[in-house]
Amino acid sequence: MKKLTLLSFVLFLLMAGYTNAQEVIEVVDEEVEGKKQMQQAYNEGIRMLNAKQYQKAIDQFSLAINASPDFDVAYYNRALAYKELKQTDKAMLDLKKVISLSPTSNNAHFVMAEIYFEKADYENAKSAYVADLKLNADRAISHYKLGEINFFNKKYEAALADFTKALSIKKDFYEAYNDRGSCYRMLQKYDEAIADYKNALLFGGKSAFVENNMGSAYRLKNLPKEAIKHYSLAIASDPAYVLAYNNRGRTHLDMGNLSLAKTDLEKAISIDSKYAAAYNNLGNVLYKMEQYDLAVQNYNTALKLNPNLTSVYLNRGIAKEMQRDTFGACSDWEKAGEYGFSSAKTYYESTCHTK
Amino acid sequence: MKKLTYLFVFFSVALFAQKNVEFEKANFPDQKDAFKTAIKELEAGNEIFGYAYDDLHIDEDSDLRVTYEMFEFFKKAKKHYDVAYEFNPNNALLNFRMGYCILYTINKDESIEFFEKAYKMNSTIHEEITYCLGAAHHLHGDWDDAITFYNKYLLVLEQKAKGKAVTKYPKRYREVKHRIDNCNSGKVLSAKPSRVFIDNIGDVINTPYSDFGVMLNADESMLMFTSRRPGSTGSKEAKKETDQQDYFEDIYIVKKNSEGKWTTPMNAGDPLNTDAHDATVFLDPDGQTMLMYRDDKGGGGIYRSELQGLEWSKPKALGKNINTDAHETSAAYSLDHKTLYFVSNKRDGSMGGHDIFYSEWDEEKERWGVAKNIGNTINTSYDEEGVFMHPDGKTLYFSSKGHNSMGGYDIFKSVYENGKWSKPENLGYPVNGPDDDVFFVMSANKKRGYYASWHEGGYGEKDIYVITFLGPEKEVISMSEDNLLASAIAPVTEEIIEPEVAVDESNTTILKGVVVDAVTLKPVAAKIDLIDNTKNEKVATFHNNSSSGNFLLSLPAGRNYGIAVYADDYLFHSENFDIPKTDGFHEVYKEIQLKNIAVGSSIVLKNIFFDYDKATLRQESVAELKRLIDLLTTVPSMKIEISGHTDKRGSEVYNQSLSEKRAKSVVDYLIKNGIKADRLTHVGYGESKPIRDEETEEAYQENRRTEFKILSK
Repeated sequence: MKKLTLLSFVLFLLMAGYTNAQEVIEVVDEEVEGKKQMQQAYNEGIRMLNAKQYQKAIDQFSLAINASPDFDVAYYNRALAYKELKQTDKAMLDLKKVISLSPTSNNAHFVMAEIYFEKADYENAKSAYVADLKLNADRAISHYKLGEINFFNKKYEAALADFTKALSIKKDFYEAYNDRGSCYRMLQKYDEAIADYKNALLFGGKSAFVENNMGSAYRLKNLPKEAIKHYSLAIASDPAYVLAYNNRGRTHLDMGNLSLAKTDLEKAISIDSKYAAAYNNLGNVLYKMEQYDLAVQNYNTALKLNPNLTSVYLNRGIAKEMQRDTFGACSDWEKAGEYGFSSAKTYYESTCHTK
Repeated sequence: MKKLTYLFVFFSVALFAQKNVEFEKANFPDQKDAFKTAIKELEAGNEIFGYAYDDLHIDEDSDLRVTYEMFEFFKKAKKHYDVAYEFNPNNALLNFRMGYCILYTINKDESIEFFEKAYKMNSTIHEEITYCLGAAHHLHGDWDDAITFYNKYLLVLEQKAKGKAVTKYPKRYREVKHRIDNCNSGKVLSAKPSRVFIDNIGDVINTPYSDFGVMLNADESMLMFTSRRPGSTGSKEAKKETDQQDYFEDIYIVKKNSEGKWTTPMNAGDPLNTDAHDATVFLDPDGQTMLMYRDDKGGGGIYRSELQGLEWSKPKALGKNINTDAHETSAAYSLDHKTLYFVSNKRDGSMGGHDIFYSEWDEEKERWGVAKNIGNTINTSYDEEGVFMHPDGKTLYFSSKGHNSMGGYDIFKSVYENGKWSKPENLGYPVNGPDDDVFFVMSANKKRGYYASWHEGGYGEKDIYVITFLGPEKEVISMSEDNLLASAIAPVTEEIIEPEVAVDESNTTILKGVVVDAVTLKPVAAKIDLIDNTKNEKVATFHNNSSSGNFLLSLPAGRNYGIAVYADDYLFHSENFDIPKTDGFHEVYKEIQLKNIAVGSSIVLKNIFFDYDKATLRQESVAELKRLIDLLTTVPSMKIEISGHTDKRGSEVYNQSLSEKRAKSVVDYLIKNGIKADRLTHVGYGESKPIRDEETEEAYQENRRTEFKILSK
């Protein structure tokens, strides 16, 4: 998690390279006294913005705008301050003003896209990134963000093209390598995925989440031993990286190493006591160990923590059958069937339902 | 020092415990009276043991088959030995003989402690000690230990025969080799157990006496079984035979109550039970016909009885092509009753011991034809027993000591398809174990099997157990989560791909119901013909229960069935069931109301089929039309109206025209087949007389129909 925060910070810095406050304006003309105060206010706003005194920066930029209503850069910088204060509606109004005053403004579309992206309004974010790229075709981060939007929309081929474009502009863009690797993974091209994850590690250094992703690619490639190796590297990189424990545990389960699976999943739960997927997987391990009561207890916890984990109903039904609780099993399979699990429907039909 | 003393005492005790203590006065100087009693019991035990042992080893190379008489001798000998054992538990020979008595009676697996003790005291106490230890370990599923001791016994045989064991002791040598094969099969099968629950059926049915031979009807509402419990009709006779410890075999019937629980079993009474042994063999899926074994002053034989109202008919022997001087123990009808599968031990063409034979019903001579061996796909050079034909009409369950049995009889299944039996499949561990597993029956839905066995925690001797088959392992779904995107905080859960699901289902429909008078709703005794419409062939004829009117038919999937119900003075009634090949298991209940042959009575002819959107009669209609012709021939004065009906889809004019043409097609067919035209009228009602008003496919299907009505008779 720590790594993720660092990563976000790095991304922010990367972004900041394009969105830093506009430079201080030199006061040039003593004759234009009216403008002086405006310029001083603007410059003070910049200083406040750089000092992260966002409200004060807004006040100063507002003074400048009052003095000069067409002062496009003041609107832009005030938008940045509003964005930092999460007053995104006001930020958007300022950015729209910037675009109306200066349609070829370098950065307004990008900042607008970022705001939409943060609000998970991917449709508008996509339009804004596209608009930005019309003005700044080589902005790697915009290509990258378009790739992420396409990934969220499960358009993996399109996302892959976006990440590739970003990488053609910025060769050491390790996040783009990771994300392109994930596209390949979703397209079941595991060798390509592994190659990209390796590049992500090469340019980004040790990273728990990249090692974990590589482990999952190996697992999906039916190379569980390699998968376990990389999950272990993820854990070595970040001993609190809970996902790697869960994934290594389920891989041990797949391999029939029940005791090792149990240890990993219990560790995952000790790190994050609200980790529903780990409870489900621990339930699966206990089911395989024929400890049906304990398995059901873990499935119950998983569902309590996350009622949307619908496959848990299927699993709990299977464990309940072994507890000789046919009624409970049927009830769970019926529910899992309603959520679209065809196997649950089959179990229900064959065990519970006599037509 | 203290520790050393303890060790010394421990080893002294251990050594003393393993020392053979002979039954000699000198060894028990202070227990004169107790010694006398012990010797008396030991000698009594030895005498009875000797009878059984000698019978078992009738010649030097006997194959160690235990008869019921030997079984009883060993049981009695053990009772005497128990007293002697209490006095002196450290005699090697007594331990060996105690183990031997147990090995050949009940709770066989408990023999191991006696054999091990005897072996530790004197590893050469008896030439069969290694064989017995092999057998005892075998019963425990200690496959490798069993193989080790069996191999040691093979060496004993070889040494005895001076290197010519195979020729000198072929039966024993072969048997031990076979047991080693059994152990190897056991290792494989027990490594991947079948997913089943095995439960004692409970003390409502089981007793401390032998309860076995369970038979069930298709909806599992009734069981018949054999028991040697007190109160059997042969109790008095049993008492006369002083060597018999149990009561004679009798047949018992048990039914489920409205809550689905078994009620108290009832002795089937006269005429099924006699003073001799009477045992269950087979029950038809509808519970109306049974086969039983009767010890009829000789080798015993298979008898047939039918449920007539509330009473079972007097059992009749199946005839000389089935019952011979040999031992016929088990039998089952095919679904159509045209073939009988049975087990016998002395038939021409036997492949060894008891084999499964079949005989076909000769319609002309009204008797079973000459028996034929079912073939070497099923039969082996070892014994086969307990044949059972499933209500799906094609799956044969049987027990065999051959194939890949893991010891004694194992239960196998084979499916008859495309003119041949499939390779028998062992039902696996723990359904089968190292001991005998035999006389197995399977419910119509293939979810439960029933058999008799000895299991720990039973009620005494053999008990009836229910096996619940859970099918292939159901795969649980595990979840992975990954931070697939570098900037995304929330992990992405892996797409869940569900595993393939394989469920071993019975593709059979159970049709059950009752035949009643349409006006009084009282039960009517009826004959039910089951017709394969596609082939226009009668599959089988059944009778409902004349008292209750109930019937139950098993309809294996993959056919278009026509069902015709007849009763004297009633119009026939027809039903249609088109069951796809992989339709799974269904239970359908139907009340069939028969109408009197009276003016104004009408019935729907459910097995008349037309080409889609046309008035052309399809070939599948022939059987139904023939029934109509038979009726008109039987009642030559009868005049009828044939009417056609459609559903309301399509235009009214079109429907009217189609219904008229279809009714006319039926009339034309009847005329062509000899019915005078002046007895027949036809009319089309189009969509004007629906049976059901709903707008469902089911309702449409019922509304599209051909009816006939009696106009005069």
